[in-house]
Amino acid sequence: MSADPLVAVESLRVTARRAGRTYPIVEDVSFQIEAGSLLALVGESGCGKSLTAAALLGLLPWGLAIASGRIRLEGQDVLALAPAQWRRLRGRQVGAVFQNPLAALNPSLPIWKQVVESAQLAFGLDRPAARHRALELLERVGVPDAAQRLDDYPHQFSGGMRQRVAIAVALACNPRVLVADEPTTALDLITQAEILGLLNRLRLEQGLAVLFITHDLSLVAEYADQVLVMYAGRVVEQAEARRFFAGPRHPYSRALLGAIPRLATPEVRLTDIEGLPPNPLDYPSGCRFAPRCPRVIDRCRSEDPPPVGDERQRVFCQRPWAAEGI
Amino acid sequence: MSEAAPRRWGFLPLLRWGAFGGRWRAQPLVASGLAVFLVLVAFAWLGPHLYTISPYAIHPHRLFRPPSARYPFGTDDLGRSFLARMMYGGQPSLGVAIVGSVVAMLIGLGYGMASGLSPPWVDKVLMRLLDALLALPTLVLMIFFAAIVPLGPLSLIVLLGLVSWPGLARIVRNEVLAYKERDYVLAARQYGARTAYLARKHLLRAMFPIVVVNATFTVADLILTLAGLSFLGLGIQPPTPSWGGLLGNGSNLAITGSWWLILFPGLAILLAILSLNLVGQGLLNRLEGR
Amino acid sequence: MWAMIVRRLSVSAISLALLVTLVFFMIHATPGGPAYSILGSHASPQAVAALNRQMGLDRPLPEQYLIWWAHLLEGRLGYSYIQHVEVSHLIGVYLERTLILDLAALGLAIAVAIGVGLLQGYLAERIGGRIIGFFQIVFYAMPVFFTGILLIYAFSMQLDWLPPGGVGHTLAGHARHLVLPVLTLALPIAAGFSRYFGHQAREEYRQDYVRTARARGLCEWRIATHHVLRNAVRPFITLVGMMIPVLFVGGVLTESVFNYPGLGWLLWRSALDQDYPTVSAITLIIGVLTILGNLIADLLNSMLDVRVRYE
Repeated sequence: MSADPLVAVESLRVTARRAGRTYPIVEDVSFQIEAGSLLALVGESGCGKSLTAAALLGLLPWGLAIASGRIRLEGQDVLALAPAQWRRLRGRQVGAVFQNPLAALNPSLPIWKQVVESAQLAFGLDRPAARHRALELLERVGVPDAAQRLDDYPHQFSGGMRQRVAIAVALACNPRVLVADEPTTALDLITQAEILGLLNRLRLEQGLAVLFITHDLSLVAEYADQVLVMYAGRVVEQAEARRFFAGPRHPYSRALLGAIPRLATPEVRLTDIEGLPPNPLDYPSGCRFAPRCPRVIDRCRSEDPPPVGDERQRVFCQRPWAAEGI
Repeated sequence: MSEAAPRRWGFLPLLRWGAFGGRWRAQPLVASGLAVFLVLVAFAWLGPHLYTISPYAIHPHRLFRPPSARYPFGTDDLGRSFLARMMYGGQPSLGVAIVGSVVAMLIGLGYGMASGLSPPWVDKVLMRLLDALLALPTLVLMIFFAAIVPLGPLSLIVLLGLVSWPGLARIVRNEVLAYKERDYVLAARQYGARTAYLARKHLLRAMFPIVVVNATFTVADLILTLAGLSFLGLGIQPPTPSWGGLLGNGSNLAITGSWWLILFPGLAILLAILSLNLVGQGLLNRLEGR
Repeated sequence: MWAMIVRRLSVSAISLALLVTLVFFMIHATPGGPAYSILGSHASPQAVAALNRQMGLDRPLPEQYLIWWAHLLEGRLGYSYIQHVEVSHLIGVYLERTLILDLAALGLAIAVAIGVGLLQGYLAERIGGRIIGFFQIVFYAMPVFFTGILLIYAFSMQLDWLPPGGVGHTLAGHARHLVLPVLTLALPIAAGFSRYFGHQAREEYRQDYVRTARARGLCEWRIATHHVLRNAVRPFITLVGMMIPVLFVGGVLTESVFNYPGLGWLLWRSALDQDYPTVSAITLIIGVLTILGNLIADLLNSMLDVRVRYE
């Protein structure tokens, strides 16, 4: 693999301002993604995984801000850019696909216009060229009869097809990085598999660096190169996928794997883990998972968990499970 | 509004905030709007007891005095105390609109319920008639009547009530149609309850919150209509003061630079409408669970 | 589609017929009948009877009703005994001035409302959005006659920049005379529109497609104009239809404040003169215009609706 990753996030910290106080929402998240590689960012809803992606895209909701850290896209420090410059990178260097394909497309524009809108603006395509480009993109993401469907509106497509269209939208300017925020959660199981397969194919064909966000570890077991598990705004385990799936070391990771939901309902409750994630405005001291952890010891509640392990599998825990030998 | 059957609301429905989900103190819009409106009411009806200068006493040597300690709102073109005229002017401006909207509320409630509970073809005819009535704005209708018969306070109340009910009638009718489909009404019908009984027992109570909200907006509309009419010289006639009439007079005298003759009546009308809009909007938010 | 248009047209036709009937009964419901209002309440019974015979008011009511319809269909709206002309001759020129004023105000209000509404939708709960919301509530409650006088006081009396009323004779003069009335009339309408539209825009800004649009690098201006506007603007047409009565009422008062000789001003002067044929004709016209306005808004809306539909 190349030494220069397409995405490099270092010590990212995102904070919220409420009533004059700042609260950390995402703390000390670091990762790198090389070309053609897929990083799975996993956690329950509210753990900060989507906000990490939003920070990477420069699309944090109002009231949240990147307090510190560094984000590099293809070697370029985007936080040093003016907002307008950063905006120009979106679509061209990094594309994004989101959870709900039903709402992700503008209901009152024909799809071909949406697919190539960013490419038209970026490369100044005329109408025939733009339509041609739209056709090419829709075919690439596997929309059947794409030529006949260019002028259709989003509501004329099924959920799975709309997600394909949304992927075509994201790829219109040939970005090298793709952020996929729970792209399959709202879909049925068969469609999920199809969309995953499509993303995987595109990644291999085009050498995309993919940040794949999900709450469902089983989805990414087959495709991920790296796994990053977050809990309550912090990284709890970060590992090469093979090692991780051979033996996750953090109690939370184990619980996640044990709690793989059978039915793909969005934002499923992890019933195997007692309790709920803590409120970001009121995080406990020490390890944030301690209140729900089956292996908790006194030290967990008072001290921040230390990093354990090496580059290939690092876990933040006082009492991690033993590493499985690979 | 919850699905639960509304409870008995007694004889003073305005005091029953339960229908709006309680905790009206938590509604800053309603509370502040109500406070401003009550201040205006107190200004009009209690003010004259505290500031006892007559609104009709003419002082030829004290014309167009700007606001001062003795005349806080200045004097007008006949040297009358403008504060006194503003206080007395508030009584017809607010009173006629409030009573008129009660009249409108009763007519609109009756018409809307009758339309909603009637067979569909009667309902259709009644609704088309409403369309025709709604095409004529209240102020235009009032100008029409003012052109034909001279209007006093009583005829103003009656006519304002008579012309401003169609909007409410339509809302009531739509609510009736919606409530007819509710389970407890259907259940009551199953037990053989008659239409008149249903209207009294269930619909009237269920209708209460939406009627209060719309009555609030209607009062605001009528204050505006009446002020506009008086401004045009077709409503309450001088020398009886009214806010609209005072503003009309002030605007004819604008060339003299007497800004107080414009500012105070204009602000009074604005505040009255604004405060009632706030109350209505606050209650509406509450009803819609926003 | 066509069935819907035909149904909508027939509904409007029924409303129009009912409106005409209503105005007829309003005229004849006056105590003493129209003759009294023409001759004044001290008129001798002989004079009243003579006038009634001359105007055909002594005939049975159903016959008068049919005559009323026949005259309307011929375009005869009545005869003004004060101005001694056919009312229909009066109306033309006044109606034109009113339409100029109303359409200018409506256009300005819509333009302002779209801009302000989009900004408000974008700002959402931020302090700027709240400030806009406050002014919308205040300006919406602002009576046009109060706004009008304040503007006259400031810009005509004190600053002497613009005429306080009337109409100009050249095109430029006409425009100068229109500035203050148009501003006055547009203010509450713009406030109402932009409040509603701002709410719509805010809902649209919450939709995922806005995030998708941002994620592909579109600038906020393009998102506002090409995406949000397109979706937020549709209920707007209905709203314009609903605002027509507000426009006419505001128009009557604005024209009166500025002595702008339009239909509303004529209505006012005729009412002061108790010129009931003119008043009833204008009342009827305002009703007809309102029904037609609503019809057009509804038809436009359903045409747009057929083209695109939400889930």
